[in-house]
Formats: sequence, structure tokens, C-alpha cells
Amino acid sequence: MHRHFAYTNLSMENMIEVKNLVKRYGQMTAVDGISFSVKQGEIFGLLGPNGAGKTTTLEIIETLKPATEGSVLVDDFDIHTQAQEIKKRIGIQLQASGFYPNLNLIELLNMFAIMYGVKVDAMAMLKEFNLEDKSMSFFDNMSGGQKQRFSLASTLINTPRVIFLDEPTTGLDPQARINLWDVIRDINKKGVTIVITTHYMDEAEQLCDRLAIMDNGRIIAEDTPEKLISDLLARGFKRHTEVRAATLEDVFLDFTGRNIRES
Amino acid sequence: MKAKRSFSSPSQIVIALGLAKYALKASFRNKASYFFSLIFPLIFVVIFGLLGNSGASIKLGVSDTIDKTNPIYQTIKNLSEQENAPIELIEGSEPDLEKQLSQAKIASIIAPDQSVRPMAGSLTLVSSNSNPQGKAAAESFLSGVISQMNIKASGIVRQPFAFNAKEISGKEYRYIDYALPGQIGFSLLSIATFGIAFPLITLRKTLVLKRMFATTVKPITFVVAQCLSRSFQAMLQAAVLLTVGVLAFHFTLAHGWITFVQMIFLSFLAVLAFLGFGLFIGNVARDEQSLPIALNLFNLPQILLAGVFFPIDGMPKWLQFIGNNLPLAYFNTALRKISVEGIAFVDIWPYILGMIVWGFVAYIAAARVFKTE
Repeated sequence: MHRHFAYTNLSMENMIEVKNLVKRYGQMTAVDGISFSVKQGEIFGLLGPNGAGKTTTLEIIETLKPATEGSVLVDDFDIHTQAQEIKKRIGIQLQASGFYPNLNLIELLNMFAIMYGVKVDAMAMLKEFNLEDKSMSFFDNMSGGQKQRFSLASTLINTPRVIFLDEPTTGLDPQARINLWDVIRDINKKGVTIVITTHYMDEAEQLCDRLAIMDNGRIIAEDTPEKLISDLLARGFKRHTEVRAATLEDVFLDFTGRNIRES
Repeated sequence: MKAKRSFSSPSQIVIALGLAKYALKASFRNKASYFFSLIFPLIFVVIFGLLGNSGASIKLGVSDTIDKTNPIYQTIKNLSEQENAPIELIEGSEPDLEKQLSQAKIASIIAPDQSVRPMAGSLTLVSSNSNPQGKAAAESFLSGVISQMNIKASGIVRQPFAFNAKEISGKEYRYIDYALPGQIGFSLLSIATFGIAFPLITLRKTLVLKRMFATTVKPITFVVAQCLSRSFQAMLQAAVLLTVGVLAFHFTLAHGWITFVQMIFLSFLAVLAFLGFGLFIGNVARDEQSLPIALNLFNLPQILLAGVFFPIDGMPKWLQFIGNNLPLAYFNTALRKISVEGIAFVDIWPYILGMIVWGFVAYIAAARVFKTE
């Protein structure tokens, strides 16, 4: 199940370079001097408990919030001086974000196309995300999995170089989650760099080529999932219970199947 | 070096027009948005239109004890049977009529002469302080009728004193002529405040605004698009109200369709000014719970004081000063001057200037508090 194929996408070029990034709100320091880089073509995970500073970090890179200190380059453009250039090159899925009300999916995609100044075949995009039956539906009337798939589709309108996904699978059932992983991998296979945040460690392990763990505004670890796990074992870590050959999720999926459910 | 793909830099004007189109589409699908800005004013227009048609005839109670051969009664009876009669007779028992009189439902009652020595050619007019206008109207009507009868009876052919009634041409001025411009103002104010502040809060809360500003759209472009779509919708609604007023209730258009176009154009200017307030309130209100309070704090004083339902002239002087200078009052007054008085568009510039000043203040205030999340 582990994905090694994506490494073929990788180059040594950095898509994102963050150096000594600081974000303060008055006395509170949300991001405390972090540095990391995301390579072109990889899936990079940003993990950490609530309030660790993940979303703030993403929003600074996305040019939605100004940084207090430090430098960030996205595709070689500077967030301080070239925000418009960066906006043209990135796609964003916000955590629990909605869409303009009373417009159907086709209209929403076309509206986004106008905002980016591009032309899109909205129906073809929906087909790609298995949403062609829902083309005339409103976003609010769809299932959780469909919403997240549409949300993903909307990040690709401007054929971005990098997309940011903030907890894309939160609240989805196991089938929809597995389906969304496939969709994310497909996008990545086309050469799009992906930065993702999640609270699900299995998801990070499944999807991410490399990941950084944040806590209290700092990055406390950064490496491939395999390396982080083997380092932990090397430090003498042992699980309290014996690892069984199957998990409860395997049981669940065995009973209910892997087919995606949509009402 | 990486091979750089080129990314298009769209014109913000093109984006604004495109966004306005979709905002309008979405707004037309939102049934709730019609309620305050169209259905309410439409109901008022219909009610005021129907009120205006009832005419102002004097309701005169006739006691059933009256002698039907009484010449005054017969004259009044004949008059009441004419077309467009100035008087309407309501027959009934005296106690019943007196009850109606005390409730001001009728103007006065005519009853048999109750003096010590009753005459065949006289009767009694019973009035009440509960209806002073009705009393005055009934007395003047009755004394007019009796004067004519006296002149006839005394055989005077050439009357030494008389007046000739001469009417100059003019359309009958009715309450709908006052009410309809007020209702258009009500509609514009509603769509410019409720119609933009609620969507703003929703878009902010559901992070739609944040997502939009993650694209190349600038906040000012989004605001222009919203204002364009709302003002277009407002013009359509003003046109609907006006059309209903003209077709169903013969609303006065001083110069026909030219007046119609001028009124719609003035509506467009007004809604642009009012939208500044909607944007301001939509950004200072914290959530959907506090928003209606904030909106009503702004809208209600204008609906009550700016000449929507009642003329500003009837209020105390100091209140008139406030009323006359509210944003909606500038619009209402200007609209009535165009529609009913037929004043040229260029001559209402002081009112347009007033709206521009208010709009300017509102947009500056809105820009200072504008937030994207």
C-alpha cells in the first residue's frame, strides 16, 4: 500500500522554501521561527495537534495572511512582494469551506474560472471527479465525499503548480476517505505538488512522501514517514499491544466493501 | 532554471462583470431575498392603491323615524342616487346610528326635527365630537343643499351673490401618487441593506470570501461585483413596483415613459449610495443574530421619518430637519418631484448631491471596517 512511485515525480527543485518564519498575534506567537522546504512533485504532510500553527503556516504561504518575520518563496516568487503571482500558481482547499450559495457545480467552476481569468470545460472537470451526475446540484445538497471531491476539483481550475489541502478527509466515512486518497494521488501523478494537513496518521503514512510535525509553533520533526518510524523504533520504542494482522478498519471494509456510498 | 509556464493576469473589470453575473443569478434564486425588497412594498402599493380608489363621499346616517316626504330628505336622497355621489346614505335605527357615530364610522345623522315646534321643512343634524371632520363636511353639505332650496323657494331668478366653479385641467392627485415613490424607496433601502449585509456575513462565515481572495480577485473587485448585481436587481424591482402602480392604480407619470426611465435611473443612483450602508453594517455586525438589529436601527428611522408612509411636513420642526436630511428622504423627495411634479432631472441636483455625500461617507466607513474573514 505504501507509495514509492511518486518519487519518480521528484526533482531536487524546491516548490516551497520557508525560512525562519514567525507569526505573532500581539503577545501570542503562533509560528515560532520555522524552516522547511517542499520539493517539486511531492506530497508533503504538515501534522500536529490543534493549535500547533499548521493552518497559520499554510495561510501565510498561500498569501492569505502576512508573515511577521522570515521569508517564504513559492515557485521562486516571494510572498512579501509577489503575492498576485503566487495566487495565480496555487490552488487552495480551506478547512470546512463552503461555496457561493444558490449556484450549481457547473456555475461555481465557471465562476472560479472567471476569477482566475481562464477558460475551463466545467463538465469535463466534474467527470474527472466522478461528479457529472451532480452538475446541476447545489454544493450544500451533496454528501461529504462529494463535497470534498468538488472542493478538490475547484483547486485545479487554474492548473496550479501546487495545491494546499487543509484536512481534506475530516468527517468522511472510510470508503469516501479511501476514494479521496486515490483522487489526491491521481492529481499528484499529473505533476502537481501537494501540501496536506491531517489529524489521521494512517492518512499521512499512506499519502505523504515527506512530512513535518509541528507543535507549539515549531517544527519538531521532518522526514519521510518510513524514516520517522524507523528512527522511533531505533530509540527503543515498543507498542504496548501486539500488532495484529488486521485492524478494525479492515473488518469494517470487509463487511461494507470498498465501494463509495453516495445517497 | 525551471521552465516557467505563463499564468494569465485577468483584468479586474472583466472579473467584476463576471462575478456580478453569477451574484445576480444566485440572488434571483434566493426566494427569501424578495420578501422585504419586493413582496412587502408590493403589498403596500396594492393596499394604498385600493385606498385611493374608495373616494371621499360623506357617510350620512338616516334615522328610520324620518318622514320620507320631507323635502330636504328627498333632495338628499336624489343626490345620493347620482353617479359619483358626494354623499352615501346609511339607514338604521337611531340608537344603532348613534353608536356608529360615536365610533366615527359615519359623519352625522339626520333625524326628524326635535325642536319644540317642528316644521315640515326642517330636520335635525346629529353630530359628535368623535368625528370633527365628518361633522364639518356634513354641516357644509347640508347647509349648501338647504341654501339652494331656499333660493328656489323664494323665487329669485338672478342671484345677487354667487360663484362659478371653474376647474383647471389636472390629474386627480391621490395617495398612491405619494405612496408609490415611498415604497420604491423602501424596496431600494431593503435590498441595499438586508440584500448585501446577510450574504456578506454568510460568505465570510462559510469561508467563501477567504477562498475567493485566495484567487487573483481583489476585495474591491468583489465589492464592485456585489454592488453591480444588487443595483441591477433593485432597478428591476423598482420597475416592477412602478409598472404595477401605473397599470393597476393609474400612478401619475408627469411625462409618461420619460418619467419612468428617469425614476429608474434615480433608483440606480440611490441604491448605489444605500449599498455603502449595507456594506458597512455587514462588516460591523458580528453574526446573523446581531445583524437584523443593526439593520433595523438604520432602516426603521428612515422608514418612519423620511417620508415613506407619511409626509415629513407633518412632523415637528426639529424632527423635520432630521427627516429631510436622511439618505432615503433625499431619494423620496427627488422621486416625487420627478414623478408627480414633473420637474426636470437636472433640477433635482441638490437631492442627488445629498445622496452622493451620504454614499461617500458610507463607502469610506465600509472600507475602514471591511474584513475578509
